[in-house]
Amino acid sequence: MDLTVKIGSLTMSNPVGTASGTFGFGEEYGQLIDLSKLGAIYTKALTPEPREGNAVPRLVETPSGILNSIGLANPGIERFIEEKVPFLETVNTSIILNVSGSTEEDYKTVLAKTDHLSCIDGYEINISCPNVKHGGLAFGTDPVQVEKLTASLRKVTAKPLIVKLTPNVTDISVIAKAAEAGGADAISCINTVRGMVIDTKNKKTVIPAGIAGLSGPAVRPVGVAATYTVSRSVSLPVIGLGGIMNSDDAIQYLLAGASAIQIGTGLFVDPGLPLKVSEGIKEYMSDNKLKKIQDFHSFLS
Amino acid sequence: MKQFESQILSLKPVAQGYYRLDFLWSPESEPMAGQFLTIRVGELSVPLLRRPFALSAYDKDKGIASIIFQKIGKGTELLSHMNPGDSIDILGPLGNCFSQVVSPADNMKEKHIVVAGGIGTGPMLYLADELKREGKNPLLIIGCRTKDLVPYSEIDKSIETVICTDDGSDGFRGNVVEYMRSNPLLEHNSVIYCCGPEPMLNGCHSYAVEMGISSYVSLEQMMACGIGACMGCTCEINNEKKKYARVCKEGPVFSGGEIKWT
Repeated sequence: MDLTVKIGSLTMSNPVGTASGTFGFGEEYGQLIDLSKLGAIYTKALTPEPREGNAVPRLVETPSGILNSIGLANPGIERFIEEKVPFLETVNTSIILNVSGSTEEDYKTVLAKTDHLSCIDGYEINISCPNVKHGGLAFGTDPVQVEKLTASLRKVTAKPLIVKLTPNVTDISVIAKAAEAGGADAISCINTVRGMVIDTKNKKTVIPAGIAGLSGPAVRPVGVAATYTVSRSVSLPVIGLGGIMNSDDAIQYLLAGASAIQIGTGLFVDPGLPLKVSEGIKEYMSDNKLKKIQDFHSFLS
Repeated sequence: MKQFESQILSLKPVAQGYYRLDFLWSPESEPMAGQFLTIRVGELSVPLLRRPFALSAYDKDKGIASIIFQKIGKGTELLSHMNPGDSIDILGPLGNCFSQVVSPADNMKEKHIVVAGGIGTGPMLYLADELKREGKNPLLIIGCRTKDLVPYSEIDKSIETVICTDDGSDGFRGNVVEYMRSNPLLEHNSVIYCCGPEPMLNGCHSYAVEMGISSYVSLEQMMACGIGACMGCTCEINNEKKKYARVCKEGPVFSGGEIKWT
């Protein structure tokens, strides 16, 4: 049985990774689980400058989900290199640095200043965060900008470039094709779904920013459908995420066309989940006589 | 910190809507007063997130840890219906503890005023117990709306305790700050610790500032990961270098002066 996944020039040991924004830079969860068993760690988004993040409360639980508005709180490049890289250098798994910014220049700066770091195996370009005023979602909903940004980042790094898409568009396949045309090596989908919760007693939104990002099992069918659509519109590997709570959920993504998956909100419920999902995928492959991850893709039209 | 499957040893009501849950503790690190844990309540996706609870007691010899919780939403409702023998998924111990945050000078103070309110009562019972074991002389002040909400059975009789009720149904009529104001003897050579609703924390901090003494507070915030990874449970702090601190990681215990009160 071959569990490896190829993303551009990178080979991940297995398809199960941890979603950006839910896993920090791995230090905390590293105390609870064996990081070397993960296929990949997709880090917290990094912007050139440190960001404090949004006003509190940043989180609220919704039916089968959570609505968050963290606001890309991160240490910035300088402190990332000082404080996080020494730890990441000790981690024996693929490290994908999630990158965000307000302008094209921001994204290029993060890549240019981190490309020399040997512990970074690839980049995930976050053009889909609903929780920042500039950049993020503004890039990810316009195919012209997606292609232009991807093409300009392609020139800065030879490492695998994964573009992370938002589901908050009319036709996600158009955006995926734009990323492919710009030279992306893979597509990950989905980022959070725009949502809002209102406190009727105080007549205001629970999260000060108003609209925030919904994740968790509530969005899983949205993620599976996006994975299905994107995998049929581009020839790149697709990394599926959104609401994976067990191995069956992950297998749905693989059958829909994903070559790898990420676990986010599910980690908050069970830190041991990624390793359980890996085991579940192996068991399913064995029961169904699947030899490699691509074999999942032959069932759905 | 460790994620472990534990077993419920006992679950009993201790006041109106409040329960005490005892379970086996297995991590090597002993939980300290102020620290918390999270429990996965059931396998369903509603409620979804693990629920955080502060430790209210720890019996080192028997390896039994306790929490006191209030039935307040779906998670705690489900928890209140569990039975001895049921297994529960625990992650802990999490966060810092009072003994880590309190300054050496405050640690030497003569009077240790431990103020508790609502769901903050559990961790403060544990702190009063910890201070007593250290040979200190804690004064426990519990503030509630009415006496039905006071977990009398959980209070160690050997610790000097004052009950404050808003309706005067027991003890001092009024809130905890009003009680402290009416007893000016308390202010000398004292330090205040508090866990409870935000107005109580804020009131205790303001009172401590007025009296020129220190306060230490344990905060509550909506949490997702509970271990410092998701940046969800922050609070605003007075620090030139950073605007927010993670309640689950840098906290939940802070010195009152560190917090930017609103």
